[in-house]
Amino acid sequence: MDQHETETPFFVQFLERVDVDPEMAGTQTPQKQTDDSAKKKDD
Amino acid sequence: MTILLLTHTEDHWSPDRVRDELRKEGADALRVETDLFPSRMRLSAWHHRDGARATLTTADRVIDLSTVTAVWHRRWNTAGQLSSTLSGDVLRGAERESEMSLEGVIAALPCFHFDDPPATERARNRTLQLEIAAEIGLDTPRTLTTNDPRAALDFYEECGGNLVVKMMSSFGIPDAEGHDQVVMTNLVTREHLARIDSLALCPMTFQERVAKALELRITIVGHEVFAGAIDSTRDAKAATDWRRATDALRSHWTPYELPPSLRAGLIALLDRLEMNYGAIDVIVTPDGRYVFLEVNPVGQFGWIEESIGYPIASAIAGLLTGRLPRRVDVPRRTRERRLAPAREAAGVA
Repeated sequence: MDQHETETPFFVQFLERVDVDPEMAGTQTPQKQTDDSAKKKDD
Repeated sequence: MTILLLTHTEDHWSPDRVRDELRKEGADALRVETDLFPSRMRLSAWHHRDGARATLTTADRVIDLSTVTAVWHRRWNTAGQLSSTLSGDVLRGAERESEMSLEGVIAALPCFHFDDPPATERARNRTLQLEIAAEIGLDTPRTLTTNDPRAALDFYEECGGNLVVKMMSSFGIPDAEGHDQVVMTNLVTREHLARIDSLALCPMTFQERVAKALELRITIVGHEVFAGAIDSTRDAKAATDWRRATDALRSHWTPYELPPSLRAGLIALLDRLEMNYGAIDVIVTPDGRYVFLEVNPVGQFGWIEESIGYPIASAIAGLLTGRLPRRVDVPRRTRERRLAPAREAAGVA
C-alpha cells in the first residue's frame, strides 16, 4: 500500500454525489463552515 | 401561546407546514433562523436572584421569551453566517460563544421542549440505539463499529461476505465542483477490502446485510405512529440504500400497518431515549422478520408526509400546543421565576 492510500481514510472510496431534493434525501446542508469542509447532514 | 420553531435559513418547507398548522390552532408560531444569530438577531437574557427575563429580537419583532410555551428544536445552525464577517480562531471563538449563549438561554426556558436537546444528542448514539432495541426485544442486525482492519476482515468472513458499511454520523464533503458528496449504505466487496488498512484512520460501521422484502420509515410523534413502506427492490439503484432512487420511488411509498408488538417496541425504544419524536428505519425480510436499523432523532418527515399524505406536521403542531398528549414531558423548572414588569423597568440588567 502506497503512501497516498495510507493517508486516505477507508470511507473516502464510498463518497458519492447527492443530486436529489435534500428534503426527500434527508441530506440537507447547514451553511456554517469553519476550518474544514465537512458539513453536518440531516437524516 | 407562543411557540418557537428553531431552524435555519436553508431549511425547507417542513417547518413552514408545522407553523401553518400551529396558526390554525391559534398559536403564535414563530420560525427562528438560528444561523442569523448573532449577525442579524439580538439576544438579551437577564438573571436576578428573584427572577429572569430574556428577549430575542429578530428583523420584525421582539420576542419576550417568558411567553414561550413550547420550542421545537428542528435544526440548530447558530452563528452559521458569521464566517462572512469573521475568520480563523476569532470566528471559532465567536461561534462557540454564540452557541453557548443562544442555545443555553433557549434550553433554560421553562416550557415544553420538543425534544430536549441533551436527550436528542444522547439519542443520536446508534450503538446505544441498537443496545436498547435488543434489550426491548427488537430484532437487530449483527453490527461492528471499528477502525481495526483485522476485526473488519474477520467480521466480513463471519457474515459470509454479506456485509454493508455505513457511517455513524451524517456529513457531506464537497467535490472539486462544489457538489456535496456523502457516504450512504454500501455493499462491501473484496475490492473495497484491498484498502482495509486505511480503516485505521477513521472507523466505519459494518453490518450484516439483511435481505429486504420492504423497507419501513416509521415516524413517531408522541403517541402517533406513521409507518410508510417502500419496495426498494423495484429500482436497482435503491437496493442497498433507497435514497439513491429517491425521486424514482417517491410515488411508491404506501401506508403500512405495524404489528402491535413492533409498534409497542418502537414506542418503548423512544421512551427509553426520552424522545417524543423519532424517524425509524426497519427492514421487513422476505421471511417476515422486522429488523430494526436505526432511529433518526430529528429525521426528516416532509417527504413521507407528501408521498403518503400522513398528517405529520399536524401531529407535531398538536404536540407543541398540547392538543395531543406528550409521552415525554418532564417539567424541569417552574414558570414562577419571571421578573415583574416593574422590576424590569427598574433596570435589573
